[in-house]
Amino acid sequence: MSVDSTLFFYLSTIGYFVAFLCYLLHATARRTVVTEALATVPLHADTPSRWGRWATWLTGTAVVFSTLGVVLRTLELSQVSGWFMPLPVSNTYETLAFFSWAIPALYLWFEWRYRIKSLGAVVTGIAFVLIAIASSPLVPQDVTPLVPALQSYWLVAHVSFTLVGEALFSVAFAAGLILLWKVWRGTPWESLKRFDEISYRAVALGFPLFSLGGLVFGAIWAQNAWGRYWGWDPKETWMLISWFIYAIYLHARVRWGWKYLRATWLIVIGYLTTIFTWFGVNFLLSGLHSYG
Amino acid sequence: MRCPVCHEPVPEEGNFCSHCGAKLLKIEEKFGLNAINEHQQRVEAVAALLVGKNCGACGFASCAENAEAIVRGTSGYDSCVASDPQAREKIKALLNLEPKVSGWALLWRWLTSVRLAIGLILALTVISVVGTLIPQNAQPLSYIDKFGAQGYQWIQFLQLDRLFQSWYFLAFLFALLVNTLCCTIKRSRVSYRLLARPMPDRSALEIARMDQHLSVSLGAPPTSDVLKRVKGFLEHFHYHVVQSDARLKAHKRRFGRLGVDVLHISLVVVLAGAAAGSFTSFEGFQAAHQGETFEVPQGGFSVRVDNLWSESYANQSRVKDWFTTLTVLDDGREALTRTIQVNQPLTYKGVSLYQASFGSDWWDRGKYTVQVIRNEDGKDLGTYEVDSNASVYVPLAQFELSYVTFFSDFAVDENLQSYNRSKALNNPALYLRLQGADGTDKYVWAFAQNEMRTLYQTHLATAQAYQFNLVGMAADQFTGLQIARNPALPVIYAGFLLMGVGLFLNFYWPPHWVWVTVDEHTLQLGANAKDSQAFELGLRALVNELACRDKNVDVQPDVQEEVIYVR
Repeated sequence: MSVDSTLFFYLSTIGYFVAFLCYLLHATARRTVVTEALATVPLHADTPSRWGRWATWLTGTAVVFSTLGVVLRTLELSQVSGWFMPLPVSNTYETLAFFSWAIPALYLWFEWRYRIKSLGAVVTGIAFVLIAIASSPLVPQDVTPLVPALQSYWLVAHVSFTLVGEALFSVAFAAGLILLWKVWRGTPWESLKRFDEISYRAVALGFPLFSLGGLVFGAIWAQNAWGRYWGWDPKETWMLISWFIYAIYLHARVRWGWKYLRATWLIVIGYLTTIFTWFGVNFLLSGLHSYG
Repeated sequence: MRCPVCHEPVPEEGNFCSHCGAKLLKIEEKFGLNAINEHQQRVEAVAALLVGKNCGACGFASCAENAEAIVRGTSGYDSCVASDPQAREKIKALLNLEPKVSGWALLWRWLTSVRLAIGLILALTVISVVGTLIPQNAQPLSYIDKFGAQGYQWIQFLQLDRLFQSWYFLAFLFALLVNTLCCTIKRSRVSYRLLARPMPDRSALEIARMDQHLSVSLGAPPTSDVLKRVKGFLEHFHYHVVQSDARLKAHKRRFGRLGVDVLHISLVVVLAGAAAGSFTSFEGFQAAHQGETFEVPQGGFSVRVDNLWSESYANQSRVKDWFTTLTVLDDGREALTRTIQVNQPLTYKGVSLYQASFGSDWWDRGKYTVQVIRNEDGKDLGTYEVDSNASVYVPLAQFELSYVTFFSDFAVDENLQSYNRSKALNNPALYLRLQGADGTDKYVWAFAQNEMRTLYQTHLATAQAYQFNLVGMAADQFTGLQIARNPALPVIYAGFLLMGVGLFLNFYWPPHWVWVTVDEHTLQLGANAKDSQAFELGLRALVNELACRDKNVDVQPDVQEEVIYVR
């Protein structure tokens, strides 16, 4: 087979990388324009630049490639397994590919909604690194038939909801990084409001999905497969830890009015724990979640 | 500090408000330090120091309610998210004059505080991190090996080897449960009032202080037409609007207010279910062969294994699924027959049987065929059946062969110790004991793979009189069944369902409450919505709508900018 899902994921890898470069050029080009005009230009409109437009189009195209890859992979997987898995999330390669599809796809919505392009470099950067790791020789890319434990719709719901939640956390993390970078550069607070708000919105949208996918669907799956809904497995525990941190963030934000720096640090810590849950636990700690 | 009349922030030292010109009264001046003894006066003084947005972030429906609670002691002096540090200090100073706050009020304030919640979550987080770094429920020797005898004593003392069952972890969890419950009681009382009663009125001043706020200058004298159009606009966006005189009150998705309450109740339900389950549930494991019957004492019935098989993917060695047909025998009667597979358990009388593992029982039920060759002349002395439980005599060589162990995947580590690498039949090897008639007693390996046989003969077991080849092997298959009962599971699942509802309501169904007033020159619209961006876009649409339809409506651009971007 010459046309298979990996081909489209390779194409999206290239797309995300070029988009990443364009977003970087956009960020550097924009800075010189805006500093003098800041007072008069409404904050709402992100000064458009040629690079920015290219970046958005490239990201969109790469997302289309990723989408094709995801759809093809689903078909390939069900062909091999004889069981229709609605989304390809059965091993490390597929989850990474799915994640690198979800992050930019969701980000594009934020870009359109908030008319902002500065997060693009971070977002496409994350997507590129993940899909590049997945496409590298480190990760086997074969379509393998599903082992018995994975043949469950609860598992699909568990992984996909958790990953979409984490993709939204990635957008929040990107906004947080930009905010920290701007604070470090001494940008006035008023222009940071949008990044603060985007990160809050992204967490608020992602938290329910993350909770449902990670806690609820994961527990139901575990109950069906092993007869125990919770077992303090390292991966479960680390997922709970990141859930705790995002819960702290939401409480501190709503009830204590934490914003900007303090809130952003919580987002950064929370994101690092989700990443650790995904990769760190696999390499450093062992448990039942040895699938990917 | 803020002006008591228009509530705009004013510098500390001024005597008159720079916004409305009202005379500024210092709190001490207004009430007189010694005169502040009337409850209502104190409440008013505190209310004057609060921002007056009525945003509800403190958990109360209005600033006035929070002021009342602050004076009573059930709300903290710093409970207002919007207030600045100076105002907080002043409230604190005011409270110090309070003769006596009841201990119960203070306890309630502590139990319902977010500070307690976050503190407890932090503690649970730290313990959880430690719990993943130190292996849980492992053998004592493995701890001694890693941390030393002294270290193991500490681990035992601090219960670090079973952290998630330790008394302090459970205590923190219980405290969080109580905290969540108290918060929910406090908050849901407010929710009930907000939903059961009509929306409270808000004055033009109060509206002006809200998070999202729009003020539109009306060129012509106000007409009911303007209000009617705003009403139409709001109704177009699915608001429920109530009109009275020159005011509108509108709300939509107000049941989203219940999201936090439902979410917190769901957590309490799940934790309560988990606690109940920990006393009433059990987990066990049973390996069984075809035709065997075993007891499930916790369920008061027994189970017979009728059939068991494994299916692989076509042309591959990968397992597709494992199946076991089970018959439940209740009082000697066949109650139920079903085939289970992974992810599809059988449940009878609340006890579930899960297909957990599957395999060949090489160690207890293995039958091996061993070929014996005399090295001296290469003569084949025939093949012999070695059983896991019986030995066999080789007459031509005059020794007895017996089974010691079987490795399905023979491997050698760096110390030249042999071990079984996996359960897959990658490199089968049989360890045999040779007891000769002359009293010799030796141990040898028999391999199935040719390369291994050669390697063994040339390097490891040179100068042996006989070579042993493993030429056939078979074993009964066993099915591994996880047996579990958890009577509290329905409670936990109910909690999960509530959690889904609560998450949806809170995060995807945000309530909006909107107040509108019209006076001679201006239309004031205010709201406290969490998703401010969405709301502001709506306001902009409203402004456009009003400006397009009516030449008399003049939207001041600076106001618009301020409204849309700064707040």
